[in-house]
Amino acid sequence: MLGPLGDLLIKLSLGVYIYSLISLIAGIKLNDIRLLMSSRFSTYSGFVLMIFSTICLIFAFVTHDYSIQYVADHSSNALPMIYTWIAFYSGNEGSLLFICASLAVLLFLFVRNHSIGDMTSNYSTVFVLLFMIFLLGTTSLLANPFNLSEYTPEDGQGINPLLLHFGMFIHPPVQMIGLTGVIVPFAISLGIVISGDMDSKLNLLRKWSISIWMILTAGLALGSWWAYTILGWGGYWAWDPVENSSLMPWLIMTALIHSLIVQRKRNMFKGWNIFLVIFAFFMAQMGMFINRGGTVPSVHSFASSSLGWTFLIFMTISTIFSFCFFIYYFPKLHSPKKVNSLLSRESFILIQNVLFLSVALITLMGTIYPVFTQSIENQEIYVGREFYDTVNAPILFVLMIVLSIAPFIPWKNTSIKSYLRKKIPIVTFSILLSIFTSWLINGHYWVTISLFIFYFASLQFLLELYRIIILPKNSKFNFSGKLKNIFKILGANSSRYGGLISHTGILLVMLGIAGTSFMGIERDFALAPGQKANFKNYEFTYIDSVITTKSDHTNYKAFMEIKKNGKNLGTFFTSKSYYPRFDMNSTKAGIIEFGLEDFYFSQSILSEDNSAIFEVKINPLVSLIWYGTIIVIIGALVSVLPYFDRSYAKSKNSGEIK
Amino acid sequence: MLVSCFYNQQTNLTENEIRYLNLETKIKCPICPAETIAESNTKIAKDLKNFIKTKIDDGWSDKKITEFLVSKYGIEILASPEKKGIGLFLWIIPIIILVIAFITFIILYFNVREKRIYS
Repeated sequence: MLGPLGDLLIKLSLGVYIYSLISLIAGIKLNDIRLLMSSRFSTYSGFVLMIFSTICLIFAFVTHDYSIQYVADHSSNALPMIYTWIAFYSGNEGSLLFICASLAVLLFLFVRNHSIGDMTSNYSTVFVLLFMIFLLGTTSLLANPFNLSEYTPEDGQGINPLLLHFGMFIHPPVQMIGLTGVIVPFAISLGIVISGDMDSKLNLLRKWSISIWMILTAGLALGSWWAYTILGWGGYWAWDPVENSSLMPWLIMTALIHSLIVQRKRNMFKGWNIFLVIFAFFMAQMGMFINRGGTVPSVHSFASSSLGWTFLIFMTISTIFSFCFFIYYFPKLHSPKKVNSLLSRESFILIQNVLFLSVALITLMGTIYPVFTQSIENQEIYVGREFYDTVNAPILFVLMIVLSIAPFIPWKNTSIKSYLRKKIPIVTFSILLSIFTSWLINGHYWVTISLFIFYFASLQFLLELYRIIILPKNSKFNFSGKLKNIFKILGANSSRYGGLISHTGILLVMLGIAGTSFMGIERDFALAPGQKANFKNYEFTYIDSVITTKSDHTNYKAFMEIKKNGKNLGTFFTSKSYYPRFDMNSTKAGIIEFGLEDFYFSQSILSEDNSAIFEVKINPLVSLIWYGTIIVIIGALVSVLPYFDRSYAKSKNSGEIK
Repeated sequence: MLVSCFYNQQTNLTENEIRYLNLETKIKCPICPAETIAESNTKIAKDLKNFIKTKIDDGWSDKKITEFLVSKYGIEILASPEKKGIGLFLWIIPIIILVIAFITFIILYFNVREKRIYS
């Protein structure tokens, strides 16, 4: 019963969205407010219908309605109730429905927040609606999750066991919302270009771009965290094709939110920004195509399907359209101002943009290269970590250097002499600090260099805060007064301080990556119960393993007592589940966070006498990656949340802020 | 203190272990879609790891080990293609992209400049 109902709801909402698009276009053409009104309300009702069809599918999972093919394929009676949420998007059809629903939410938020006569936003809505109709059409006609199965089985197929993890509750939805969400900044910029109303909509574009970028950031970090805790190999990034496909839009969005600052402050780079946003949308669609088309092998092929060609066709059409559009409107987009000097913030942002684009393009090429060799030479090859590490890591490192310099260099122009004179004390101090810290943690020289970049950037940030918060004498010198002042000042220039907070977070992530890649060590230990071993300054005793058998899997739990520097940290376990139905193992590593260092162990082979082989890793500074990402997101929130943004309108166009 | 920071003295791994850690990220698990043997949990990955370990202890060079694996499984066993033959172009792509990036930078930088002069 739920099947036909859900199917009906999806098809109804598709109809409603098509009507909405037609009446919107007619409304714009005829300039008729009633048609625009009607289009708006039909988007609202489309949104409601989408939500209901989503609920329908969730309800089908909860009630184990195996008459629906998708439910039978992706869940089973043994599946605990809370995991039905994961089962919902664990396959191609369901994840498509999820994407449609999240785009419906974004569309609703977007439409709700502009007035009916706002023509720029109406143009933008046309593009979002087109994308919505494409996705919804694909879902309802080609990959309908509500299709009925030919017979109703007693029990379902069950879910891929790797997905049964807390991280899976948030990582895939966040990632999917982020990737589909790229349509919104894309649509806004196209709307802006058509109406020519560049200035009044810039803040809207900025806010949507940063929000989507923030969601993409969270998605990437959650994915890494999931890989780190459950895949059982102690790493967090594998340059897997699907990881790449979510990284590429992130890279371009990063370039975009920075060059938008230049457009806002200096009224430059207009055309370039449009180009970036078109490219970001292209990359997001590329990601969908790679994920669904299954042309490139990946560990993420949960959602692979034969739908690749629809996405490929849509991507080709939309890309050709947007570039024609770009070329047609290009003469309107030239900027009246110019880059004055190489040593200016705009030129640094330009360098940053170009480098981010390069990383994105290199990653794209590496990702699709196997497809070329396969089709041209019929030779299967694989492009992995070594390629990306050797090529991308140096560029990203240069980007970190740019990041530590650019925000603190004046706009327009500065002389190299005065700049150096100003910065030499900070540079010296950061060198000393980084050497000292590195000596404390016994760091590798790349960690020392990363620490230097980190200190150099954050000391400049702190100095700036000191100058504007502590230094002014006009306010009363008491602590609470200063504290209030902080929020006022941060609010007055929330975009800048939000950005600087995010930068600090990114630098922490960089430290974490440097720490794990250059100082991480691993070794395998074969231990019998009761046996002890030493690794670096850790001493650990393997206690024993416990085996429990459940209806769909067997669970092996190994307990280990761990000491660091002679101090007892307690007993920890690593567990491994074997799912015979999938012939698949899911590992939960034992991770003990001590300071910023992780002691990571996972069990690989268990013999009959309970002796086992353990892979033990010591990952220094890895926690900085997770904490850093949280700081990045806080920074992004500061720059978009209305609370911090109150005085934004006032400070806009008021020239440079140092 | 300065010397200690620029000298990596904190690993107590043997040279063979470092070679092994380096090699295992360069060999792909033959049956996995996109994982190296360092990442994979499959049995064949474990076997390959053991193979590499024993061969390193037997005194084989890294090159000999990879060449042996390539002759047995074909070049798709390598996690990244070699810088020759079919893989060569892949390694040239980044250079091309960086050159294009540099040209783009110059164009954007000077193009905007000219407009000011003529307008």
